[in-house]
Amino acid sequence: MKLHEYQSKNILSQELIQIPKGTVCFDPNAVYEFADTLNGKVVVKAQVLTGGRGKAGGVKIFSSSAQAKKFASSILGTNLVTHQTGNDGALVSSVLVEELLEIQQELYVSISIDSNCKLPFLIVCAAGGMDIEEIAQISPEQILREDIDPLFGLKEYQLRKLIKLLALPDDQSDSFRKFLSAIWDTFQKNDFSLLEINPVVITSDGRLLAADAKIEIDDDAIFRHKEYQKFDNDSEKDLVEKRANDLGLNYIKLDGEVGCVVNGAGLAMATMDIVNETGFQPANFLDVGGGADQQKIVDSLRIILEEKHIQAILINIFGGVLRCDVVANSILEIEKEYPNEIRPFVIRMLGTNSEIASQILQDTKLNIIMVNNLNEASAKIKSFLSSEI
Amino acid sequence: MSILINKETRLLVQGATGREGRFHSSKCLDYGTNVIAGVTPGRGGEVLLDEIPIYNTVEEAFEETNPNTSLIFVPPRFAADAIIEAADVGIHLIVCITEGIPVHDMVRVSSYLRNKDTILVGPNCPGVISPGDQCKVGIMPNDIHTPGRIGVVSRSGTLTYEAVFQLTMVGLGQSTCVGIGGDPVVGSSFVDILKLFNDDEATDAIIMIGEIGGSGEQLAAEYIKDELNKPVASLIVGQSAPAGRRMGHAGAIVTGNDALASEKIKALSSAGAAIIPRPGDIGVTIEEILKDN
Repeated sequence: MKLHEYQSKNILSQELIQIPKGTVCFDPNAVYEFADTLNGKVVVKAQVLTGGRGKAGGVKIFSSSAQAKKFASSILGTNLVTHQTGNDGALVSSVLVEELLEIQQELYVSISIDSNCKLPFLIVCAAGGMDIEEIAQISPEQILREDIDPLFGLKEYQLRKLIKLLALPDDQSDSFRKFLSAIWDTFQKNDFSLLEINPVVITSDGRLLAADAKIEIDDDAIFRHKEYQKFDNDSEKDLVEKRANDLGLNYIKLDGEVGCVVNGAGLAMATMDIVNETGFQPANFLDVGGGADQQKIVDSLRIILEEKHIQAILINIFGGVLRCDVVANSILEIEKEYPNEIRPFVIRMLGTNSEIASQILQDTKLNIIMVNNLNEASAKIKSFLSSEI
Repeated sequence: MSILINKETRLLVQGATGREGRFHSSKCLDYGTNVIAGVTPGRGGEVLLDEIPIYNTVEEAFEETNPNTSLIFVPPRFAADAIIEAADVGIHLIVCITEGIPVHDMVRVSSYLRNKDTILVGPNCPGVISPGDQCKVGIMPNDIHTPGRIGVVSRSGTLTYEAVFQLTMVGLGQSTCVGIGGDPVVGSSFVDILKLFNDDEATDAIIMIGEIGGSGEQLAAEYIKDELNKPVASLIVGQSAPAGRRMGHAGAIVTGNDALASEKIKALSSAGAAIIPRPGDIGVTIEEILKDN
């Protein structure tokens, strides 16, 4: 789960990491009130779960509360389009209003997990406030990396080495060392999968703060963090997707015209690729899961059939624990519910009870096309959709 | 011959009395695996499926029955501890099926296992099967596999079954099939398994099935190029997946260039692996490379 900047900063401040004075606002009047306590000298930052906000005009600096309020009214409730969002953009439902910092130096700090080394690693860079991918291109030598032993934590010598390489002024070395230790402890204790602070700011009056913060929490660890269960960051999700997820389906909505019902994540990705090779596009990713029952299959089919732009349905099941006859019976149940459904169902079923499934589907009035393998499935999808146009 | 498991496998099942543990213990027995003990804390003294004695701890099970392999069905919040428990008594091969283990648990487990003589396969995987030895340590359907000389290694479960099915369609059997798991941090990598296949006399060619996310396929490409002396056919799925979204597997997410299917295909292709052009072409591709070699 990705966290908003304000949520991320709340967690950091609870872990005694300094953040700028600020507050999250959901309406323009609140922006005015808070900005006024700082004599109108504030930065207003759109809260969206995506990068590239600054360049897209989602972050602005003001010197009067009225201007800050005006900006907030113009951006709240709209969709911010950044280079990472696609054309629809991301809904801005809140803004973070913060004090302006007098910046003396900016640094980049992040921790994430390396799948190949199977270790967390810390990245520190003296050039903060910039896009780290850009720095990696222009001057990779500036990017310092230390792998972290999760059973031991950051070692003193690693910290000494980083501080020396960064050439920080003496009076900042100690606070930066404490800062790094604190963010590692926070990262591990809170089950983050990513923590990026860009920039860490050293102010001219000598404070060291997290001026921005991007956190992703490991979805698989949320069970042991009650405090995160209250975050409802689903509001930016598509409604159909939300409904499917609430029904326990692993569903991602896409733009295409072919609805997919599959068991297993790998086979589901392969099925999307099969659709893709026809020149048409998958309408969704859907893994019903190995232990799916009839209800789950029926739910999946309902969600797909209610999407009117879907022109064909591809069902690809490798029966194991999930038996093919269960899938066939789900299709019969759907037939009763949608007796006038004319869109084609291209069905490929293999494994446990696949022959029984074919028999079950013999007498349906639905437009069912049984296929024996993946290439045949894509050929049928292609010929059907091409003849429709 | 085969890799990881064989007729000498003496299997302990951790979490044996749960719904999944029980079901799959029985399927492993049916297949011919020597399932010798189960562990469920608090259920010691029971007998599962009329023949598998249940112990409270791995230590007890180890002393009484001397297993060399463990299969784990323990729920996510206890699974890391179960892996460590098996490693601590010296079990050589641990296969963890559990899906949804926190990634921080897995980095700690991986660091703990680093200096131990233990191989971990998974988590979030279908396990390992060697049809020639009639030995299965996993959850794959029994009847689709046939003995043969093709090794299969994959990040995905059902897609591995698909590969096996297509092999059967072209008359090719499998030496060993290994699901390495769909999580961001797993025990054995593609490279670890490719090394075993390289040394395995019973394996002539390898199918490697990768997907978006991470860069394990690129490391495999380096190994294929520099050291592997057997032909490999590779399928990478998720070419049509949108960036930044997790496609079912916790590890299947495009977060940078390396994570893209197209980059993985490029790396594998230039390393000399045969690229399987479409998911439906697994069988024919391996048939072709066998002809060429």
